[in-house]
Amino acid sequence: MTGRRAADGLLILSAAMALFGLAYHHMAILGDGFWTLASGEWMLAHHAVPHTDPFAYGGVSPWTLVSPGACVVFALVNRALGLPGLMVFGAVVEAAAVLTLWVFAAKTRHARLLLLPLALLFIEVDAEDLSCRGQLFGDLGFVLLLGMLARLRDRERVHPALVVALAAAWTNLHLSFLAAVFVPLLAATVLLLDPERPRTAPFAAVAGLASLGTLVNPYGLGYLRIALGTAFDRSTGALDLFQSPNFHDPAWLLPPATALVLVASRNHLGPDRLRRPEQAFVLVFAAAACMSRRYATELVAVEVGIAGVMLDSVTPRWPRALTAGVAAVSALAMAGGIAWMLERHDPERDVPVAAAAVARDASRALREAAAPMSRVVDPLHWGGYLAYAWMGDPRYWIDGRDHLFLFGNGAFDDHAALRRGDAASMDLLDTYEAGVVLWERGMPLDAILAARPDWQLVHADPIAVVYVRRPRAAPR
Amino acid sequence: MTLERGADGAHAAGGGDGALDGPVAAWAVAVGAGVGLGLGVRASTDGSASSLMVGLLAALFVGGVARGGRARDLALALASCAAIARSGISPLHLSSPAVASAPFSGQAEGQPPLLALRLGLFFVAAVRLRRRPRLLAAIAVSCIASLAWTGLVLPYAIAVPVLLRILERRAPKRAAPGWVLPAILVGNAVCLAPRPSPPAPPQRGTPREEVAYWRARSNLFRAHAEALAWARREKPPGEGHVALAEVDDDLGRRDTALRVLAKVRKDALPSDVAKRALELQARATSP
Repeated sequence: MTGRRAADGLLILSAAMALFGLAYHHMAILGDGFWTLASGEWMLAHHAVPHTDPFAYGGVSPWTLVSPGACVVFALVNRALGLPGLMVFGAVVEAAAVLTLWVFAAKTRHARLLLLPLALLFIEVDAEDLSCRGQLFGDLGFVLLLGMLARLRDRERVHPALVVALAAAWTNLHLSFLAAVFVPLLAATVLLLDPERPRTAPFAAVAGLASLGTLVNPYGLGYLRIALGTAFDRSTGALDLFQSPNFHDPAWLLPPATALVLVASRNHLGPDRLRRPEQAFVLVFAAAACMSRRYATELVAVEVGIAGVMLDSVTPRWPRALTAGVAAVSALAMAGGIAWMLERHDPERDVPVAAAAVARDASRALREAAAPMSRVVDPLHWGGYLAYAWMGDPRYWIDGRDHLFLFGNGAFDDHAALRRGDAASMDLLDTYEAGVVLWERGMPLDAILAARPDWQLVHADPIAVVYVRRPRAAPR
Repeated sequence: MTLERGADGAHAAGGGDGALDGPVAAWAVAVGAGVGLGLGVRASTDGSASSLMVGLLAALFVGGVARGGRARDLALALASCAAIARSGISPLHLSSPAVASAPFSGQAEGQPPLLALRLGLFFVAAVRLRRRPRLLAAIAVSCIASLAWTGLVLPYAIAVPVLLRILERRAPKRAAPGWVLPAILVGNAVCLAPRPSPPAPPQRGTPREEVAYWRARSNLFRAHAEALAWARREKPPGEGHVALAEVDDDLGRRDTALRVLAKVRKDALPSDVAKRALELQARATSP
């Protein structure tokens, strides 16, 4: 008995190491992470939430900061541990979400053993977008929500205060909080497929309580407008993260293929009760993951939750082989986890540190010289880093915070035109009063500016270039 | 009426799951078919002739197979055809290897209904083919393959209902409930009802309208560029200069606004523009 417990403990420990190691292996601080830090620093300094944008000049005013709680948490962690420590913290949050899901979804040793690859897939499908930002808390919130729904499915009680607290915390930590309202309603709907279903009223009550919890935010109802708009506006589908994955890459076929395998296997595994609703639930999330790779992690989370129950119902035929399997997988997971943990990450590996310093100094020099155009035009995905590095002095043009409201005034579309190097590019630079252009090296705009006598290249490195408008070139 | 019955060769009447047996499931299928048919008709009337042709051919083919079947089979076939028609997939499209071999993209026009069709058919197959796991596995592989190569969705969407129908042909027939037809008609009426036209975009074209448009969108830099171009074209300085000064004021450049305004002869302006200029001057000079 003691040996079995030790084996269970070893499996959980090694899984935790593997999950943390893999999360750390993929962890980055992308543009979103940097503006999150900058916003958190701003709030800590001002003891308030911003109502106008402190960092960029191209957006609208007034403005609403999304995920303000995550901004403060990440800024505090950054103050205490620095950027490398922040990446460790991010990996801990992500690993904790998956570990919680994995441990509670499967109760038996063989089920946990078989489910571990799927738990690792949760992190792997998010690899491209895994970074220190509110989405980490969004993943954690989704896992906790699934736990609540599993209790309701099993006719257990969920304390109303827990629902409100989860929704309130989630609302302030990440925009995905709308799942706390809509997923219980979805669960109640698919339950209708089973004549012997549990009562659907508790699911509706969870959705209602979660709706109340979402009101606990510093902006009130206006914040919900932002969240609903971002979730349902067509323009969101134009964002890379919200587009379908490339299904010519076999790795992206794994989550939907797993979903179909689960739906088919559910005919034979697991309790008869709620078979059809669970099959339908998985397929709805499969559809969401096919529409947008953003939802691939949610699909895998649902798959883990349902596969755990199915695998628990199977009795292993070879108990000795199972013990050996647990030992082998534990050793492998531990070795992999340690190898990933020993990797060295540069938190600023994806951002133009040197070019940003050059652009900042050039803009300040132009401003002090009272040049008619001294503003910095930048690519959207570097804006977050400029927020962090410059803290509003100077302000840059655009970043990736909000395509719908903050930069939904045409700036987002103009950025796309500049990125393509459209014929109107030079007019756009005049429109946004660019005195400095910090851009990606080798992009069409780089070539356009290199050929212009009124612009001067002042910095070039492997990823970025900085151009400054020559003094006499300013129109007007 | 149960969807499991007879499909997997082992008669499951009375002992089946009964998961889709009942008024709720029947209601969902009927209304879904109604909506699907309505969307298909709308797509065919609004879209290209090729969409219409494919929709009709598929409807004839699958409907022919389903002939004599239960109302639910016919509804399933119609929903399949509607989704195909709605997707705009045509023989012309499929004749292009690049399109047929492209991966599924939810952002491509017409693809979301086809995704719903894929997964919906798989769900029905999973329910009906409980005792034929190999066949179900083959359908799952086809479904996944159609995500990698969208051209496969058409044979998949036709083959699965046909297969299910063939396997079910010995199943006992039942008359459709009396409310199925009205439900389909209501669904179609909803789909075919005129949609509210989107609100008319703000009028644009003249410099005045362009400036107003960008100010309304809170893009003062765009508004400024439009006002500047307008002011440069006008002689003598008039409303374009007033608009430019207003945008400069919006941008917090009061001195610039006053300088621009100083060039304007206010007595030569229309009364409403002169009033705006005077208000702006008063605002810009106030402490």
